[in-house]
Amino acid sequence: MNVPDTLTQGNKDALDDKGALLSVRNLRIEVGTDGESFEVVTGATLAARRGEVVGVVGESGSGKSLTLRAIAGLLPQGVTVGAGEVHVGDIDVTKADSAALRRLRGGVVGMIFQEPMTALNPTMRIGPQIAEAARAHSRASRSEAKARAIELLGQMGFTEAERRYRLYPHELSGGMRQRVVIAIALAGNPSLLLCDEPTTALDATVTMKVLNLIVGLAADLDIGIVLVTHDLGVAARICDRIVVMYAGRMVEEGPSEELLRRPRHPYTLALLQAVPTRDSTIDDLIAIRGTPPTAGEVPEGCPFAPRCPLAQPECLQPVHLIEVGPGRTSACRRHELLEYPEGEVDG
Amino acid sequence: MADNILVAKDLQVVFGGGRDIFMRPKPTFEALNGIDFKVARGEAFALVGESGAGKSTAARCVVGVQRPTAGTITFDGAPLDPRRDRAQRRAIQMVFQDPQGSLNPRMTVGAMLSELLRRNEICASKQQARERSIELMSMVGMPEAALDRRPRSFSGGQRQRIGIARALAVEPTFLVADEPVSALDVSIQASILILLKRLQRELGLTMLFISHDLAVVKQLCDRVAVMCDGEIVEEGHVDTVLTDPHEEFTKRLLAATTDLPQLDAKMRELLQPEGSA
Repeated sequence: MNVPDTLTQGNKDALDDKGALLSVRNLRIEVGTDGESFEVVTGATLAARRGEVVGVVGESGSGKSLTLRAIAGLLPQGVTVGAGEVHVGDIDVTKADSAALRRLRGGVVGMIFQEPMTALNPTMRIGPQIAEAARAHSRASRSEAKARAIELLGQMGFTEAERRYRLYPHELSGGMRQRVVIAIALAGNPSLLLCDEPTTALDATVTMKVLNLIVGLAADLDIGIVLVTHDLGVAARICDRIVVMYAGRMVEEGPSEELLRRPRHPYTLALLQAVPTRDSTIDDLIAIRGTPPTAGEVPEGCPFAPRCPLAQPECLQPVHLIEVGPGRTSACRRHELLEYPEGEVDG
Repeated sequence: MADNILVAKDLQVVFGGGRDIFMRPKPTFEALNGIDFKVARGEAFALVGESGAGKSTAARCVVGVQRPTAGTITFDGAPLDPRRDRAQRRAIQMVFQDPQGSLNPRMTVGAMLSELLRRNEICASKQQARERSIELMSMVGMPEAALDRRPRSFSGGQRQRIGIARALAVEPTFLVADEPVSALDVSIQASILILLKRLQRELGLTMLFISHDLAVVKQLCDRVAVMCDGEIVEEGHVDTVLTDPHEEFTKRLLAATTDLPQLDAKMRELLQPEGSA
């Protein structure tokens, strides 16, 4: 088999692994018609195993949400997969017919979105909404589905689940609503859970509870989780591996702790020094100059080059992901500079 | 003794009440439950809390767009109520969370600033107003050419800079910033925080900063009051509150604050602006 060179060791392991759930290879997503289309995601490659939480971190417009939607075959109208492969279990998502996609969504892949209220039916009690999702993917009877819904509510930390079964979404707080959405996503027993900014609309203390719940699921149910977020702090808390995206491209991937301590791409490094944390002071923060490019106007070569303090003329040449360590990739030509920062700065 | 420029005493705001069209009493909601706080001249003071804690309501009372149900605010020794005189209106200015919503989309930035400057009799002529506008733009790190464009053509971070320039145009002494970075992309937030801190230092502004994020507050503020359900539950110097919180709520809020593993020491030098550029 011919393995493209953008595959990293971590990816290869995941693909060889029998437990490999998700593999996305060289995914290109385009917006617009044949005449005037432009790429919004270029060459995304990622993998997830059972029991693993993979974070996809990026700013708005980095293509992280579209990549996630492509995995569930849920790209909005006018947005298409231009090239690449998406495999979830034994389903080839980009080539699947509508029956297979129905089986995929909910049955194999569960999804959680940012705003829980828009994902719930406001006129329907929460319990039946969960039961409905359970019945859509199994031959369960009504009473079995109800029992399953109550069990799920219990798993989500609802006390008196039988009584709460009859509540309406508007009677719940934001965090509780998000837990109902998670219960619905899990009702079809998916093996992969896709989360798109699941805590962005929630208060900080509630965020913690929901994140802990999500991590617990990966371990207890042995499912794979892909979490899209703009918040490095959220990714740092719960992800095993992190993929950093910028302007529609993957710029770096690695195990969380390592990637956050010793990033190998200047964008990741710049981001880490621009984020206010519990320990930083204003004089530690270094602002990133400029603004991210708009889709369709991404420069040739490294997309971060115009803002990068380390950029050299060679950075305007096309870049690709380079393996820089076990399970680690970087799309920076000058990644060695970050690997040996004590060495000469002018290499 | 501290020189307090702003003193809020027993500030209370109740929403709702009255009767509906069937004359049934409507429920009331206490957004602010009689809070007290003082802001010393030249300091940056933060109200921090989760949604519904009442922090924005308090800010709105200070700016004068919300009438307190009870309680008083004094500013520079004089009572401050929603019907204030021009000097008080000028002295207290606000930077909003969503710069898009706080700028007139149909006016160029130059026209907007010019109107402000001339209506408030800061500049007598168009020429003067233009010069002052250019000065304001450079204060917030924007080029002169930005004056001839409309808000729509700027990015979120640039719009927030314009929002700050607008607030500074009338030469305030007291700046109220309500979540000024939470609508911005992560890579832009730092530049706005650094700008606000620089302006505060250079212009000697007093600042009331509203945020849900203790980490952001730590970068910018000297003192912080933690709010929960319309009350101040803990108050003190930022470093003290963050290292030794007393209230259970503050501890939970702190535990949820962005906490990243320490970057390798050698990596910190790499991107320093004076480095290998």
